[in-house]
Amino acid sequence: MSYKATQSIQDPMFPGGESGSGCVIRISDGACIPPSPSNRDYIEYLEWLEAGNELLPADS
Amino acid sequence: MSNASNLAGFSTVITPPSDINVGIITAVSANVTNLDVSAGVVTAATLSGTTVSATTVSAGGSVTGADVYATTTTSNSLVVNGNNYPSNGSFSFRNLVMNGDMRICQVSEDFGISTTASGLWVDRFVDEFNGGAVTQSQQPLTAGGPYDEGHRNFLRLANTTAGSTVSTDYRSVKQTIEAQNVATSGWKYADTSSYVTLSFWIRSSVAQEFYGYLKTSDGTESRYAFSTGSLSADTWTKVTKTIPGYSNLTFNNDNGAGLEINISAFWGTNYTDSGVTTDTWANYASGTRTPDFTSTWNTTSNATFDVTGVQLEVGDKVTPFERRPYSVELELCRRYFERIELISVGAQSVVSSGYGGLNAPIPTLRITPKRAIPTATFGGATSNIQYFHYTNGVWTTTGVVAWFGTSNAALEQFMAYYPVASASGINYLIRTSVGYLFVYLSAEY
Repeated sequence: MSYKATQSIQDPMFPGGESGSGCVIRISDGACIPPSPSNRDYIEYLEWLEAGNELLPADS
Repeated sequence: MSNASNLAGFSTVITPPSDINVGIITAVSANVTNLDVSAGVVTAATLSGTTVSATTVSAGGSVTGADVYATTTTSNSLVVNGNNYPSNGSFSFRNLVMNGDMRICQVSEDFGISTTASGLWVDRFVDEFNGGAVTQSQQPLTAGGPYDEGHRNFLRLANTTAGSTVSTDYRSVKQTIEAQNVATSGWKYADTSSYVTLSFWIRSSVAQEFYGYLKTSDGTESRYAFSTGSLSADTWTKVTKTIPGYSNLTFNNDNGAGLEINISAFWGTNYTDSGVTTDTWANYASGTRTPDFTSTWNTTSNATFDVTGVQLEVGDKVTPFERRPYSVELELCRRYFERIELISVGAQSVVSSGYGGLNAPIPTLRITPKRAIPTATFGGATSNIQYFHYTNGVWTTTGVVAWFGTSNAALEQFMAYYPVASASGINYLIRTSVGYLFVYLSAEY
């Protein structure tokens, strides 16, 4: 399992609000995982980070 | 008050005094068509008759009859034609389990009935396995006890590659009930005299005993292990467990994990302990989920493990499986997982207007409010998605990324983006040249 960052995204639904910089991509299936402590996939990602793994950079 | 030890043999309609107290009234054998005490009270150990009618009927044992009419019927429970009625909790939406009859399987729209992957397949039921290989699928049900109960689908785990490691292998299926749904169910879960009842149909191609467990997440984690009993091969068996409250149980009134129901084909010895006692609550630990399993199913290639009709209800009686309309059940499931078709085959009419950010958005879609901000996974013709940028006049193929607006507290809107620079006021035409694009939104536990 590995993950990569996403480009920063200005959210047009909420101008001036949140951006998508915290979203990570699970490379195995392309899933976009939001930075939410209630999201199971994000919890697994944090555990993956704690295990010493490193997030790959976003595609340029 | 009229008293008698036994009233029987009536062949015509009788009208006893306003109050009658007897040991037994036996009506069917006496061909009584009406036992009418509509103005009075009948107190008896046993009542039976073609028709029993009274203002109040109370019986310490059972009340039976083709028709029983009463303003109040008091007993251990109300049983009509062999069906229990709820002894506690709500009358509608009393099944705390969603999709217990396994009929909702949103992913089958795109991938057919089965998968070799672990995780979610049949809605709300998450498969976990380790060692060997397991296929999970939604299967049609065409006969048998659960069919007669009205079920038409079941969930199947197939042991396509047998496990060989008795310590670390596992195969199970679970559903996690949201904490607030348990907290507000009416179950006095810290009271040992208050109950919930779990029932389900199970069938295995291998004759053996299986185990499962309930697990709580809030406060001190607790578990309640149970046995299916010894199953005969290829035979549907209905398992019923009446489960008391426990002083350690806590369910927050929130969207977190509440009560996990785990029905298991196998847990290796790293997860079980021979000292675990079934049918009692204890603190949860990963290594003491259940008693040790017989390993036969796990080591049998292509063994099957089928489950349907899962119901958890407040009270100490198992009642008939609660039927909910398909549309209602689907909507319940969508709080945790939703399939959305973003662009259909040949559709070229999705127009996006750039806001000036880094990416071109697909118009916002309204979705079923989610339990939590979901993970978005795209599928289908992702490699065939193209966008037309009006300023440069060419179709360009690109991949897709997605973002879900965290500012939307209701979690009821979704927007996908194309990873291309968009400019304010510039429109984009988005299409799929082949196939269709869908997205799965998952807020499952």
